[in-house]
Amino acid sequence: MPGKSKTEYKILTDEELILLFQSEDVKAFNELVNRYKDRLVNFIFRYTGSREDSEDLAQDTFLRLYRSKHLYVEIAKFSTWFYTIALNLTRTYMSKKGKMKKKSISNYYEDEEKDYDLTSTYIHPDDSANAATEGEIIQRAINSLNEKFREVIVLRDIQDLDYEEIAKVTSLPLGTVKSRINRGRECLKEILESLHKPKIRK
Amino acid sequence: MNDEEKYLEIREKLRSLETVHASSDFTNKLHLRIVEEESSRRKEHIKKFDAEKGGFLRNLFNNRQYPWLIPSVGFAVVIFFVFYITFISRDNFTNNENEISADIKQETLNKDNTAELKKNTEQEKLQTELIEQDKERVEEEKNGESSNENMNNEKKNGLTQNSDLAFSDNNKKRISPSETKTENETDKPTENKTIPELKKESETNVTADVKTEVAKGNEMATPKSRSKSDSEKIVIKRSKESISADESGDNGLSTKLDKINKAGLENIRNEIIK
Repeated sequence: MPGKSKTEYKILTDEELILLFQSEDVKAFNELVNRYKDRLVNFIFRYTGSREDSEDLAQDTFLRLYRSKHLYVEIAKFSTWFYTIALNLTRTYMSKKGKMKKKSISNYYEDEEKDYDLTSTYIHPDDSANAATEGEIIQRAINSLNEKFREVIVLRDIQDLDYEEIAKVTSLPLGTVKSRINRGRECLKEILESLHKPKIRK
Repeated sequence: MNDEEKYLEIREKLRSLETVHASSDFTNKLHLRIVEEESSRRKEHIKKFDAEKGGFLRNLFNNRQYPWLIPSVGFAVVIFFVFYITFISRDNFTNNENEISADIKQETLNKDNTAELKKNTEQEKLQTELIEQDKERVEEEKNGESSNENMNNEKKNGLTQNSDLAFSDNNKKRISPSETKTENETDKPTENKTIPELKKESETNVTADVKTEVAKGNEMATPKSRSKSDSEKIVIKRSKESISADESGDNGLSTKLDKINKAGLENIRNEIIK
């Protein structure tokens, strides 16, 4: 289908577009870029907390898609496969950068499900007071979350992926995903409360 | 209570967050990166192709256009090796063997030749020594002959002198015994003898001397005749040897033998002349 117009590409599903792109249709790739670029940048930004990094990582993800388009199999959902690529790239980037300085008690034990994770990123109350908007405060709270909780919360509550999709993207069991999401929310609530309380006291 | 409802407030807060949009030049940047990526990939591919670009045989066999080449070339190579092993290598082996045997023969011949040369040189040395000895003998004989001639002349002179003296001394009736002794050791002293007796004695002495001289001459003549026959035999022998040497091809030896023969003949001539 080389002679298709832009509107025709917009009607097509993600899976159809990637199949077209696999048959060397670059317009299908461009359509996929248009559909996913904002979502991807938003996801990476919420995960990393850096605008520049989110742009670069999003471009890297699209490049990976361009390079390894033949690896996509029709069985899986395109969004799941694409988020998996993005998450893996972001994980490796974060681990390289060493931005996430955490001290996890659970690292002393082999059982991952033990809920002893504490964040090392300490948000000073004055910082929260100086924060301009509510969004920035929430973003700082997200950044202070443990990486395990952060990725699932971002995927669930910001990107609106369902549990099964998140399980596939993170390659975790569904139960683990659910528990992590709940614990992440609990942690986030505590952080936000701790951020708001001193402000109220002041 | 459902988990979603339990954390509804936090969920709403998170959903209320502004969606971060990609920059306006995001797609352009992405396309630029894609172009760079493709160019780098092409360069890598070219490098890989150059690295993989092997020799003639590799290209020939890697190329799938001529699949029949592999068995045919393999078969040809096998046939060539079989032919090489059966014919060429065997011929080379036999040639080598022949060369080795020829070398051995040449070495043995050289050894024989060296032995023959040594023998020849020894023979030549011996012959030269013989020639020198013959020359020395000839010279000695010449000297000896001259001395004998002198001696004979002296003896003859002595005899005539003695006879003259005897005749002269008969008149004087006495001859000193010392002189007679020197002349003839066997002679007895002639003291207290008469003149006729002395004459007779002198005559007998003269005749005896002559006889002895004749006998001596005969004696000298007889060995000479013997030596004549012996020398003839030697000459014949040497001529035979020279012939055999000529036959064998030793010209140097034949010439030397001829010289020896000549020297021998000259000796014989001299002896005959004497």
